[in-house]
Amino acid sequence: MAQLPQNKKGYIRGVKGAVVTRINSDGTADGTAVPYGIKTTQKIAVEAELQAGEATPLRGGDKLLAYVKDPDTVVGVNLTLNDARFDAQAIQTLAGGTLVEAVEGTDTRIIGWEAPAIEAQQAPPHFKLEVYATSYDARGGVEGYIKYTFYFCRATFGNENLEDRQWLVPELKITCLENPSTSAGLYKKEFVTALPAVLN
Amino acid sequence: MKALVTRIIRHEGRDYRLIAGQEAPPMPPTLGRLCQKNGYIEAPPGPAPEPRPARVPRKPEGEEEEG
Repeated sequence: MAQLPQNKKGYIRGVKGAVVTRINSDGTADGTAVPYGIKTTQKIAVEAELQAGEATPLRGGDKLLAYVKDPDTVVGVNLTLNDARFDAQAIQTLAGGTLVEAVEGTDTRIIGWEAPAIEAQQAPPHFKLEVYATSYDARGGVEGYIKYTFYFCRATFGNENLEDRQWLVPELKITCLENPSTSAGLYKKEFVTALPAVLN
Repeated sequence: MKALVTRIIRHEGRDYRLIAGQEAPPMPPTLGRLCQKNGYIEAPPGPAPEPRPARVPRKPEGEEEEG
């Protein structure tokens, strides 16, 4: 049985959005969780957190005799998510806090968000994060999408910049670690043919 | 009644803070019913049921009384 090359060219451009699904703090799936789609992501920066391996030089006779360096290890991934709009539900799902709702007839409507208290931040919500971007072929045609799956994440609300004649782009800081309930790596990237319903 | 979720509900100009697991604040009956319907607070326990009257067994037809 031969291994065929990957099915898509993989020229990735832009960001289509992110899907957030709450999980339990031990990394197991939460059966009651409902995925939430963030369709207005402007940027998601993915930065590897590196634990540098120890370097040990051996010197003698005024010269370097030997040099050994342990491997560097990527122990986590830090993401910065910039959303083009203030999405209270998204922020609450990612970073906790309290939704503010106003009564409308027999329903309630979300009108705001309150940051979590310091005590509540000691037990932040955990979630799985899926990020989608478009994959193009060599002729610039859409051949599908690439899907990142970050298995075990928690977030803090980040900085905001209010400036004359500038758009406000809220920021969230996300830390992704290995899921303690599985043996999987930090995250996965794979080609998919369609976006999930929550991003359409 | 205990709150089941953590929310701030704005109703008629006042904010009512629900904290999951803690006793819900006093609120107008209309808001209370809405919060129960949405699953935000526990439903109150219903009133104790009326004691049912004892059943008197019916005599089958044609049976004569003794005595």
